[in-house]
Order: sequence, then C-alpha cells, then structure tokens
Amino acid sequence: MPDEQLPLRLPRDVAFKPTGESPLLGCKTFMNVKCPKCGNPARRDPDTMDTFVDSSWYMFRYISPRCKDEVFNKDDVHKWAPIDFYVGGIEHATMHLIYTRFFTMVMNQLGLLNFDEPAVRLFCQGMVCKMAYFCPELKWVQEEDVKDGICVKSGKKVVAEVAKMSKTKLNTVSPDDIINRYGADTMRFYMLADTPPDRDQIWDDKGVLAAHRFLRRLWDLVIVKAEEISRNNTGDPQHDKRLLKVMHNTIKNATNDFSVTLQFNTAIARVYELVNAAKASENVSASALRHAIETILKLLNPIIPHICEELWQILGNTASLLREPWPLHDESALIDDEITIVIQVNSKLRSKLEVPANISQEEIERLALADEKIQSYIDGKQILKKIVVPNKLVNIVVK
Amino acid sequence: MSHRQYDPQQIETKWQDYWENHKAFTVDLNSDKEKYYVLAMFPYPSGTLHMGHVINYTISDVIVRFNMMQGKEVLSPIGWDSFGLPAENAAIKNGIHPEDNTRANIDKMRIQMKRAGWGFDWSREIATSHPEYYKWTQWLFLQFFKHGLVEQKRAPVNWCPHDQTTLANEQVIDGCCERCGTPVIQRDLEQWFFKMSNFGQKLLDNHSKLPQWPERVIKMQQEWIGRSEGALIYFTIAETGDTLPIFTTRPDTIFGVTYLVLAPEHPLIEKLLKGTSQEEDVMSKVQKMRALGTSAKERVGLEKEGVSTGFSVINPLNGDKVPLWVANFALMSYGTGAVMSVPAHDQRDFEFSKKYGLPIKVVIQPREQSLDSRTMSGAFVDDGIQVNSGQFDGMQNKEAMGAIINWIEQKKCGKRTINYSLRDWLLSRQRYWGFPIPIIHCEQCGKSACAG
Repeated sequence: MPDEQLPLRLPRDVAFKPTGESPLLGCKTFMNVKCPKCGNPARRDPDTMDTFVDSSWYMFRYISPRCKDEVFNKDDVHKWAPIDFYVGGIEHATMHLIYTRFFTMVMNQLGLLNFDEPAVRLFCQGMVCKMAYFCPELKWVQEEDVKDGICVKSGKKVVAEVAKMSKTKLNTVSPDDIINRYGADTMRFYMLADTPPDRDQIWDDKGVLAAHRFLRRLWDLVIVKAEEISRNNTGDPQHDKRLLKVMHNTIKNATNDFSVTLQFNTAIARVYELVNAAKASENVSASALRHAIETILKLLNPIIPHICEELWQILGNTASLLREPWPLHDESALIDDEITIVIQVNSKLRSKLEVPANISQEEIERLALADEKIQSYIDGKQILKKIVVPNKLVNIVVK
Repeated sequence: MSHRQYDPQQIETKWQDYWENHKAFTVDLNSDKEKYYVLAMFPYPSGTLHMGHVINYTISDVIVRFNMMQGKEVLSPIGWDSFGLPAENAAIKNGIHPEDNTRANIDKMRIQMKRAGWGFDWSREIATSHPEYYKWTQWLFLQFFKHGLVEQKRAPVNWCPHDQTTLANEQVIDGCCERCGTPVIQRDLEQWFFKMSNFGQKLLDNHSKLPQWPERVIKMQQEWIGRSEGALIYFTIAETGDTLPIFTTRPDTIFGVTYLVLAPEHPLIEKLLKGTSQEEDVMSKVQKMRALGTSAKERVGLEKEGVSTGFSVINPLNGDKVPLWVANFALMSYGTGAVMSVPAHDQRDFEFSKKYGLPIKVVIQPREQSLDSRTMSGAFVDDGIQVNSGQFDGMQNKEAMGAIINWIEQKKCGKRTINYSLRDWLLSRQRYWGFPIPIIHCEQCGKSACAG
C-alpha cells in the first residue's frame, strides 16, 4: 500500500443524521472507486473507526507530533517513551487502558516499539462530587432552588445525594467562575488540600473560601517577613536552629509526599507547620528566615505556582522558580541536641532528666542515681537492677 | 512593600505570559538531563472545562513542576481526543458541521486551560480528527491488517438503538451504552475486529511489569480478561448425532449434569428446530430472548427464562441422556455458548431447575453431612468427596478435576482448555465523525488496503 496515498480523508459534505446505516454509504463520490488490483469498479468501506483506536497510540505521536514521513521518530520515541507518569480516571481501566496496552504490544511485535507497555506509573484520580437534589415533580434541581429540604419551585420535598458533578444532576461548578472569583491558584490549592487525590472528594464552597484565605495569609506573611529580612538582623543561633529544624523536617516529609505517596494533602499539611513556625519566629537571623520562607515557596510552587513565583520575585529573585532546584533536607539538622529521659523506680515514673543527645550509658545511670527526687525513693534500699533504654528511660529496681 | 495586596487576576496573567514567552514547558528532546514523560489523558473537546478536568490536569501539573525542580527534562504534552459522537450529536442539534464545532470547542477550551496555569508544551498539540494525525492511525490500522491482526467477520454485535451504531464489549456497561445509557441490543452484522482475544494471556502476564499501577486497576483488568481454566467437553445430540462442545470450569461435577443450555444466539438452535412441530413455539421465545441482547443478560437480577428445545444430549462420561434447553443467562460470548447445568452444585442452575422442575443430582458430598437432592435449599458449591461419579467416587473433588480431564482426553471426548472472557475488539462504527477505514472491497479481488 503506497503510504503517500494516506490520509484517506473523511469527506466533509455528508448527510450524517443517524439512520442505522453508515452515513458514508450515501456519499457516492467517496464510495465508488476502482479496485487497486484489477481496476474494476469497487467500493470503499463505509464505516468509520471507534475513537478508542485514536487514543490507543497518541502518547507516541506526541513525541514527534509534526513528523511527516513516519508515524513517529523511532529514536526519539525509544528515548522518551514509555510514559513515566500517566494520570487519568479509573473509568478507563477496562477500556482505554486495555486498548492502549494491546496496541503497544502489537506495535512492539511489529518492530515499531522496543518496549511493550505504554506507561510505567499510572495514577487514577478520584471523582469530584457535589450534593445533588431531586424533586419528585421537576426532577433534578439547582441547589439555589432548595430551601430547608423543600424545592421552592414545586413546594415538594427533595431527595439529596452526593453525586459526581454532572450537567444532568445540575450539581456542577464552573472552573471559570472559580478562577474569576478567587484565581486559579485557589482552585488548584482547594482541589488538593483536603483529600488524597486518588479519592473522591465532595465540593464545598466553604472549603474554597478557606483555601483562598490561606493564600491571602501566605501572601501577607511573605510580605511582612520580606521586610524583616531586609533589616538584615543577626538573631539568636538557637532560634535559627529551631526554625531550620522544622524546615528540614518539612522538606523531608513533603518531598516523600510529592514523589512516593502522592498525598498532596499531607504535603500541604507539612508546609503549614513551616508556615506557622516562620510566622511565630522571633529573633531569627535574616538568612535563616529567608531560607525558611523561600523553602515554603519552593515546596508550594508545584501546587500554586502563580503566587509562589510572584512572592519569589518580591523576595528579590529574578529567575523563575521552575529553574530552582528542589530543596534538600539536612538530616543532621533533624537531630536534637538535648533529649528527655524518663526515670522510673520499680517501673513507676518518678523523675525526668534533660540530657545531651549523645550521652553514654554509664553517664546516664550516674545522673539518674544522683537525681534528687530519685534519691528520696531509693534511699536505704537495695538496688537489684538498673535497666537503661538508650535515649528513652532508666528503670531502677529496688527491694 | 507591605502595601502590596494579593491580586490573583493580575499576577496569574503575568506569570502565564511569562511561562509562555520563556517557553518554560517546551521540552528539549535532546537534553542530557534525565527525561521524564508526564501525561494526563487528553480531553474530549466538549467546549467546556469541568472539575473532572481540573483535578486531572492539576495533578499532572504538580508532577510536571516537581520533576522540573528535581532537575529533569520534562515532556508534558496536551491535545484533543476530537472524534466521537458528542460532536456529531451537537452538530445535528445545532446545524453546525462537526468539524467546525470541534474547532470552536478546542479554541474555547485551550483558553480555559491556559487560565488554570497548567504547564503544557503547547507546541506539541495534536487533535485526533486532524488528517495529519489520522493519516497515521490509518497507517497503523493497515499494519495490523497486513499482519492478520484485524479481520472482518459476521457476528452478533452490540447495537445502541439511540446512537444507532455498534459498540465494543468494553463500551457496554451493565447492559447499557457507555455513552448514553440506552439498553444495548444485539444485531448480526459484518463488522471489523482487532484480534485482541489472542492477547488475553499476554495482557495478564505483563501485569507483573506494572508494579507502579494501582492494584484496583490491575484487578479490574484481570476480571475483565476473565481467565478460567477448565475443559472443553463434547456432548452429542441424541437425535441427530451432532457434536455439541461445552466449556466448563467444573469438570468434577460432570456426573451431576441433568440438562444442557444453549445461548439464545447459538447457531445450532435453528439447525435443530427447522421443520419440527415445536419450531414456531420455541423460536418465538428464543427471538424474545435475543432481542434483549447478550450484554443485557449480564444485568444483575434478570429473571431466568428458558425453553426446552425438545432435543436431548448424551453425556460422554456416563451416557446419561439429558434435555437440551435454551436459556437467557447463557452467553454466546463466553466459552462455546453452550453450558452444562449441574443444579446440585451451581446456584444459578439450581434456581433454574426449581423454576422448571428439572432434576437435581448430587455428585459431591460435604464431609460432615449427607446431601439429599429432594431437601436441598440451595446448591452445594464447596469442596467435598465425589459420589455418583463412577470410577471417580471417593476422590476429593479437587483431585477428581484433573483425573476427569485426563480421562476425557484419553477417550478423545474433550480436552483441557483455558477460556478468556476478553473478546476481539469491535472497531467499526456506523456514524460519521470518525476516520474512514482505509479498505476497498472488490467483488473479484476481495479486500485491499486502500488509497486516499
């Protein structure tokens, strides 16, 4: 088959009202051709193809979308495919995701691909649901038309249910409206802040407002702290240490949330901790504060990029945050200098001690026995055993 | 600086322009950095973005930006799944050509998507309804055709009376059209299929290569592919001597067969009944069952209906002569379209027997008690000891399974076999807004790959 004769174009002027027969049958100029083998009158196939065929291989065409003389550039496809991270709805599990696996296998057998699965990692997001109201007379009605469980138009009692947003059930929210009212960042943040992304979520207008308020607080915090940073304070090293410990802990956990578990809601919760620590910080150095604030912006950038880029610029940076390396945590900053040791006598809590983190076993025994409160419990008694659980407790057994 | 207020409209436009002007999401395919290909399933251009899109593309954008900051070269393309029925239906309703309608919708949605700030490489945008794209889908179809992986055959197919087109099995959900929800009926038509059923085992085996796919997706696919091990067993029509193969996953219960059922679409029905006195009566009932359609039968809670053909079959294991019925729960698309019925050990068969007064014969006994077919209130489906099973009596039914298949293979009245529910993929549609199948039909030469 000479490839240059493709595409076989879909004719534009066809009566396409469904009759149960292929509409192309009625298009004589399309249907009647000569047989490429014998030259006698022949007919084209009048059917069109299932659209799931189109989507079974599109991921490869994206790599060479303008390639004119080949289905794709093989070298580029072998470098860039399979897909590393594929996102879509679970409703495709036994349709698109079977078809595209089948296509990839066949294309592999035909020598077009050197792999036989289209995607390494698959993620299926949850559905976005909202309360829907059914009136026995008017069928599905808008939320605005329901007051105290009664349809205001018919006066009938409505049945409420949580359902996937749909035009039929009149329970949709328009992304354009949300963007016009609060901005895209609020919409993006709201979508990810409360629910793990693979679970269904129930739309709540109050939640959108709360998300928007958080962004405003974040904005104000960075503006205030930017001014503080510009004063170039030296601060108390102990205060710095405490703030940076929260920061490194946040980086460690949020990075895991972004790359391994994909629980963006917990990543956001971790960043809240750092936001709160930065807000509460006093007498910290300008450099530690800058480090903490910039880290907040880097960690939130994938979720709310516009506000983060803007604040990043306000802090005096020039390039886009996308060019910034993802923050790395420092494990040593997470180690506490001082730890609290519990001291028991006959397994009953009797005292607590603040000790250096790297203290030896002998030293901790000595300190425990010398403790004033402990003295009063063991005075004049025979010590049978001393049990030490490193970094946690000392139990003194007496008779 | 403190006087500055948060103004999302202003800063969002500013940064969207910045990313666009700096080609922030334009990939360099030749970069030395580690590659990372992020893809969100492309949308159908309905003309309106909805919250389902928002969650989908926000997740992919988070992954894109995160991986860029991790120092990777990220490919993040977007395009349009732009053929399909909704465009055609909208065109019929509004009198706008699907091509124009689709183009306008894409333009609208592209603006909406840019406003959400999702980082896509728009320089790679594709639309499946563009000839530059479907040229290659047609080309791929012809590669499949040349290698015998696509064929045209006459078969009972799913037909949506509302959309007036055929549907693949995967597109029938609980007996209804995946798109419009109309109950699907059966039609016997000459249609194109991808030979996907040959790939059942490979699709299952390759799941081991997908450790980073959600378990629930793997499970849904396993169920859909529906692999079951069992045996093909040849019964004989007593009156005509015709062979009737059946597939069963429970050969251990074969001595308990008290009747056989055929799917309403089974071609043997017409052949047997032609010219008999019961033909008219039986066929009218069969036609009613056929009208409901194969997939409709899968609908939960469907009342089991059946009709006796008046013929009987001979069980190759014990020579028993049992009646041959047609029943609405038997699927032509599963196994051979003929099913042996063991009411003592299958709940569906049990209910059917009770309804039509067919005999029940126990062939597996539990250890603790003794079953009596006259007093059973339901089928016994657990493991036990073979009884009334000739030379296999006293065996554990699990062991008997293999022993019976061996015996059948020796006597050449059946064979060990694996069955899959996965069928060939029906790919032709009787609607306009898709790309034409590039084949020419000639009375002398048959089917040829066609030219444009």
